[in-house]
Amino acid sequence: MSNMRISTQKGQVLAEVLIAVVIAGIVIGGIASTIGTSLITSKRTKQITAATALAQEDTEAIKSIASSNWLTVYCPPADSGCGNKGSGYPYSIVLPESDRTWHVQSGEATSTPDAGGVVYTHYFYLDNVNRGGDGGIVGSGGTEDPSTQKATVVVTWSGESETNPFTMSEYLMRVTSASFRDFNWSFIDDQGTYTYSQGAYSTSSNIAIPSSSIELQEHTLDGSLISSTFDTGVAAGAAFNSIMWKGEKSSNSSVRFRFASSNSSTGPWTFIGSDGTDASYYGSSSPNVAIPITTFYHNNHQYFRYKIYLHPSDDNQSPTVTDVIIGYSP
Amino acid sequence: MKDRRVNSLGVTLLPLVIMIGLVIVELGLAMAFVVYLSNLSSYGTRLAQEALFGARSGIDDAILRIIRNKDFSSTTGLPCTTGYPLTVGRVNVCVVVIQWPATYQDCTPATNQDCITSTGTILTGTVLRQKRYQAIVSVDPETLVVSLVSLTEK
Repeated sequence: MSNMRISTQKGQVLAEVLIAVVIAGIVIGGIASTIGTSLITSKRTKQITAATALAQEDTEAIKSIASSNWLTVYCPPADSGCGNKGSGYPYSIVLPESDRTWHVQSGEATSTPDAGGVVYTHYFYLDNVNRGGDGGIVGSGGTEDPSTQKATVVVTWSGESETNPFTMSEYLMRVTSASFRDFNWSFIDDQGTYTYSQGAYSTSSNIAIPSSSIELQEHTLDGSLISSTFDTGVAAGAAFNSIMWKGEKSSNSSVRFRFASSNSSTGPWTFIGSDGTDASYYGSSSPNVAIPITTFYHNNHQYFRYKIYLHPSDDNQSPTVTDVIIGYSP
Repeated sequence: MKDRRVNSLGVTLLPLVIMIGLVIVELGLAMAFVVYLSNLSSYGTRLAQEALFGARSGIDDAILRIIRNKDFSSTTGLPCTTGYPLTVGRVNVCVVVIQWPATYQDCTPATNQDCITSTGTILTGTVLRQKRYQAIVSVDPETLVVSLVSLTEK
C-alpha cells in the first residue's frame, strides 16, 4: 500500500513538471518573439532617428544656401542649363574643412558607418514649380516660377527598402527684395547704362515731359516712352517681380507697360507683356498698384528696360506718370 | 507526513513557474511598451519635422507673393478654414496673410506691416503633428521693398 501511494505521488509531480515545462515553454517562446520584434523595432527606430537628423541637416543647409545665393540652388554645379531637375539628378551638401561653408555637389553623399555598422546615403533633388493665374502654387498647368523650387531630401541606408525611401520636402523661394525707381525724365540717352535714375530715357513718341512727369502730347491718341538701360548689378541675374507707377489718370485713360530684359547692356530689347508676347501688356486700373511681372520670361537677367504706353480718356485727358518703380530680387 | 511533503513539493513547482512566467511576461511587455513609445516618439519627431518644413514653406510663399503684390492678403480656400492652402509633400499648410490694421489671433502688425501665420499639419494614421510659424514683414508701399521683421515658431 505504501509503495502504491509513493508511485501515485511521483506521477503527480511529473505531471506538475510537465505542465510547468509547457507553461515555461509558452512564456519563453512568446517573450522571445516579443523581444526579437522589439529589438528589430528598436534598431529601426534608431535608424529613423538618424535619418531624420540627416534630412533636417541637409534641408537646413539647402535653405541657407538658397537664402544667401539663390542661383546655387536654382542652377546647381554641373547644370549649365539649369534644367537638371527631378529625382534623376541627385545633389548633396558638402562642408569642406577649407572654408567650413556649405556647398552643393552632384551625386549622393555617404555617411561613415555608425556603431551598428549602418551606412546612410543622403541626397536631394529639385523640382521646378508652377504657379497659376492667382499666383498660387499649382500641381499642373500654370507658368513655371523660377523663383520657387521644391527640394526633396532622400535618405537611404543599408538594409532599408529602396522602394519606400525616407524623404522630406520643402519649398525654397527667392525672397530677397530690392527696387528701382525711375523719375524726372529730362534727357535722351539711348546708349548709357544706369544703376539708379539720373533723368535719362531712351526714346519717346508723342510724349511730353512737363514738370518731370510723363504725359501725352496734346491731341495725340497714344504715346510711349522707352526707358534707358538699367543695371541691377547682379551679374548672375536677378528676378523681376513687379512694376508700379505713380501719378494720376481719369477713368477711361490707361497706363500700361511692356518689359524687356537681357544679360547684355546692349540688348537685344524685346518688349513683352504678361503672356510673353508683344501682344499683351502689364496694366493696372489705378496708380500705386503693383503689377506682377511674369518672372519666367525675364529669368536671371542683369539689365532691363521698360516701355510705358499712355492712352487718353474719352474726353482727351492724358494720364500723368511721375514715377515708375520696378521691384526685383537680387 | 512523508506523503504530504512530496505532494507539497509538487504543488510548489507550478506556482513558482507561473510566478516566474508572469514576471518574465511583465518584463517582456514592459520592454515592448518602451520600444513602442520610443518608436512612436521617433516617428513623431519625423512628422513634426515635416510639419515644420511645411509651415516654413508657407511663410516663404506668402513673402514671395507679397514681394510681387504689396497689397496681397489671403482669402480662404478649402481645406483651410482660414487662409489659403499649400501642400508640401505629406503636409497640408494653411497660410493667413493680414495687413495692418487687421489682426489675426495674437498678431497685430503695425503700419505698413503684414502678419503671416502658417500652420503645417500632417496626419498619418492616428498620429497628428502640427507646427506653426508666424512672421511679420515690413512692406514699403513707395519702393515695393519687403523685409522680414520677425519670425517666430508658435
